[in-house]
Amino acid sequence: MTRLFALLLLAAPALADDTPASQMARQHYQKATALFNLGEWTDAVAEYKEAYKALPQPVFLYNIAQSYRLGGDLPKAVFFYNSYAHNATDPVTKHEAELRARKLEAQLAKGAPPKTAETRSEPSAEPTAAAAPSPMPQQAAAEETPGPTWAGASERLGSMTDLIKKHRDQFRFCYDAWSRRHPNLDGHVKLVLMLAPDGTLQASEAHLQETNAPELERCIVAMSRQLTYPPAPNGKMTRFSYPFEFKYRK
Amino acid sequence: MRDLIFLVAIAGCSESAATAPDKKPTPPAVHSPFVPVSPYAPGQPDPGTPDPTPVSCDQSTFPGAPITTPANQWTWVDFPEALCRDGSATGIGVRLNPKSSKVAIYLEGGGACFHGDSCLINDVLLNFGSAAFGAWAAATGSAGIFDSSRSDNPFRDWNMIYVPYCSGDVHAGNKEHVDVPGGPSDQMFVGYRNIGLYLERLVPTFAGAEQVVLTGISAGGVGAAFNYDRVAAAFCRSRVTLLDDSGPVMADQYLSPCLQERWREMWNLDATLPPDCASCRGPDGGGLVNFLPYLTTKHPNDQLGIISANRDSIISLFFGYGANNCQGLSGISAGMSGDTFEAGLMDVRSRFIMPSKNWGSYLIDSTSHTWITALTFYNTSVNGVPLPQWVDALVNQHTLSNVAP
Repeated sequence: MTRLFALLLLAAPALADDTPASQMARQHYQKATALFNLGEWTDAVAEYKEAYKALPQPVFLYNIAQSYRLGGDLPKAVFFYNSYAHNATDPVTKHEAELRARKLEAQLAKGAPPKTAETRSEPSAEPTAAAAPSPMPQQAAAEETPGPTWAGASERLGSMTDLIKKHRDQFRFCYDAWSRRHPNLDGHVKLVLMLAPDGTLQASEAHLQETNAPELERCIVAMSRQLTYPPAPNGKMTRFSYPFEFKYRK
Repeated sequence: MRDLIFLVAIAGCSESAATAPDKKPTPPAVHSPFVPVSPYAPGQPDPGTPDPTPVSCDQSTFPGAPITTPANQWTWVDFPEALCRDGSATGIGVRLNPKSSKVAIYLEGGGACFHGDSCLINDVLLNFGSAAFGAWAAATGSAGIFDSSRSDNPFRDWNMIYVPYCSGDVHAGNKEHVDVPGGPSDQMFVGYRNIGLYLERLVPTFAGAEQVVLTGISAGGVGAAFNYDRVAAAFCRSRVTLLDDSGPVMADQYLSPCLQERWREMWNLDATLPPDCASCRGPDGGGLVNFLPYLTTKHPNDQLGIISANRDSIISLFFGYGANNCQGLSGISAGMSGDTFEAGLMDVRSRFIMPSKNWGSYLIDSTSHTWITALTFYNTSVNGVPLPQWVDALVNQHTLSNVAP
């Protein structure tokens, strides 16, 4: 199943100073992020590169990788994920970048064409089987990810599930609007959130199972950014997935 | 220039509506939508025939050709000059019934674009042409108020007009090439202008209609209310009714002036609001709620109705961007709680709707959003009043009531 990922970018680095380099980097970053939001991956890459040239902050490398991945250029995405991991100081995102690079490398080794959208195995609902491919889970899952910094957070499952259910109408809004031009298609959408211990949303992905619908996935991701997430009782990072099953409203 | 002429024209007509509250008492016996009955319309043998409507009701300012499409089937009508926010051309869908003298103009909803995330949410409706309309017509085109097979549908045999939503501006904007802060650039927020283009052909098509209902859901509900004054003026021979589904406005206390100011700036609302609604333009950006008493005063004999959930989670989301001095426009939205939304809605209801003779409301104990375009229209009942019955009273019996949980 081929899916486009809609994923949050890393936030801009602290560019509080008003040096010309900082100002220029900020301008390129803002332009790049707008292009990213529009799905104009090639142009987004160019702007992030300009931002990096102006101010060599590693986060730009991550965003370049994201743009390449979403644009289907997996070898370059791998290069920039690794480049980011090499330069990053934040262990969480460093690890995330390494994971992404490894997944893409595995994908390329299996013969994935270099210019396709990313394919990805589904995480399991079982906390200990995150890396094992499985059908889309029918219930929410808060799960461990391999590695020490994305440790398990099953304590969060109940509160997170309640939160998403409480705001289900908002996510449904995306599907309802999208389904006006795609009628009679049920929406099996999986939302994956990566949460910091304090509840800060680090990244968000949405995947529609039935068809390629990046605009719907972007809407779902944007909706996920509107929520306030609870802190983790165990103080650990959480990867939370929630499967929506939207039915076409007759 | 065309918009300017149009505004001047409808201003004249609206003025007469305010000073002649008993207009539209006896619309001309009508009529096929294919045969214009206005004495000013092309093809009429005797333009000098006495007109029962006020002299200022001049529909000749709508120069378009009447729409003629096959009867009783949805058909797409291109309007090459009408634009979506991505600059692509759009149009409208029509389902004409030559045996009916009533027409419902439905404005689609789907969020709005005024900062990064809101534009992403609205991206699902970035453009809309004949192909998208074909998909819509095949499914939703026979649901809810569009269902012509149900005897309890108040609109079952009406002429139906579908106005898609792809302008991202709640059908109220008139500003080109806008760069949205933190969002896309070069956006065409011209929904208000699009409505003007549609009226150029809809008015000649339905010039003598017995009744026109302007309705819409969500952003389309807001757009219906926003465009009501000009549509009522354009159809000055007809009884005109407003049915706003899930597009409320609220007082500045709830709908932050800074958020209203963003909308004004992005979509040029100050230019598209009726010129005679000075209080709609607050110095701090607020005041949009004053549109409600404006309509009450300007159209005292019309029926104006609003449907809303008392804790609508979608409108809460969008209004929530204005919380904490618009914190949500540059970071995480503080949101608007269901309690706050309900308080804001009840405030509007008690201050503007209940005291007026020409507003009615139907509130539902729910967090859901929009009601009239799906089966929920027929399954919803509040205090023993089914929603279709309330709508039927509004649009067909011209009686108003306020229903609430």
